Amino acid sequence: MKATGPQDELEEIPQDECLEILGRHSLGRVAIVVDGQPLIFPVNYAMGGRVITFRTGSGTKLSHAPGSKVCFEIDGYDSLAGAGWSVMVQGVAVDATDSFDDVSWAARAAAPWALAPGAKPFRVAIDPSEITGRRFRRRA
Amino acid sequence: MHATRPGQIESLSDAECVKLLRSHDLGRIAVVDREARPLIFPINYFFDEGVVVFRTAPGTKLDLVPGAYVSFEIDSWDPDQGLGWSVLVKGIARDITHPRGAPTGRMRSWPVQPVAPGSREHWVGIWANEITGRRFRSAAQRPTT
Repeated sequence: MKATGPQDELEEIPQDECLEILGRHSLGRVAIVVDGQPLIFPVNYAMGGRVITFRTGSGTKLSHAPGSKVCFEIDGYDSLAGAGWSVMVQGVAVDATDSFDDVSWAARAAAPWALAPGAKPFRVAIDPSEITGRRFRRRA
Repeated sequence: MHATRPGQIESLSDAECVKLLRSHDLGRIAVVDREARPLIFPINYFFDEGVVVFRTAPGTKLDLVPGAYVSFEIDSWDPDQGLGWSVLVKGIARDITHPRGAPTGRMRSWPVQPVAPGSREHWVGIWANEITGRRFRSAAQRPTT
């Protein structure tokens, strides 16, 4: 790669491209605030348009996410290329299991896989209010 | 590690969690901003003595993190083995940039290697209150997409 300057590059990823990246992946992490403390859970997800959706059982995610502000994140790092990126989505979570609002419909049109064992009969959707991403590549 | 059966999900022991934390260097921190929104940031870290240490530049993390309850997480998924695990550290973050006694001085010599560009001269430690982990082997077939 041709060096264009002495600094490594750290750049914003445009929102359209963030959505494209979100559509190409299926494993991310959701952060939920429980009693003032943020918690992080890995989830398998799918996109229904701009809506992020994942399946869950009747645990912490279902009892605390719906109606609350949550964060969703995916990232990647290629150690050989020295290139990394991350996409972060902020929004309010919705219990989309059997609701008839637009977000729930969009969520149910997508089919997230759940790799972890256990019954996951409920569907959570995240209606994004903000989608941001950044990436970098280290110069040799 | 003993074999996890397909469709099984199990808790990791404290020793297993510590071993995983010590053998990785990339995780994610979750913090809560002033509008009560959680945020997630990937960070390079080093773990020892029950403390997750990372470096950062002035900005959102440094504004929100010191003194705050935060979480730190690492995870892995091996599609060939169908094996996944995650470790979650709940704790309180402290700015350890400036000398504040022997332990924090020592932590600033830990090998924290940020891969993202930019100067990261501030040191932050997350003192773990609780470390939990789980491991599973998928019962399901892999999706073909």
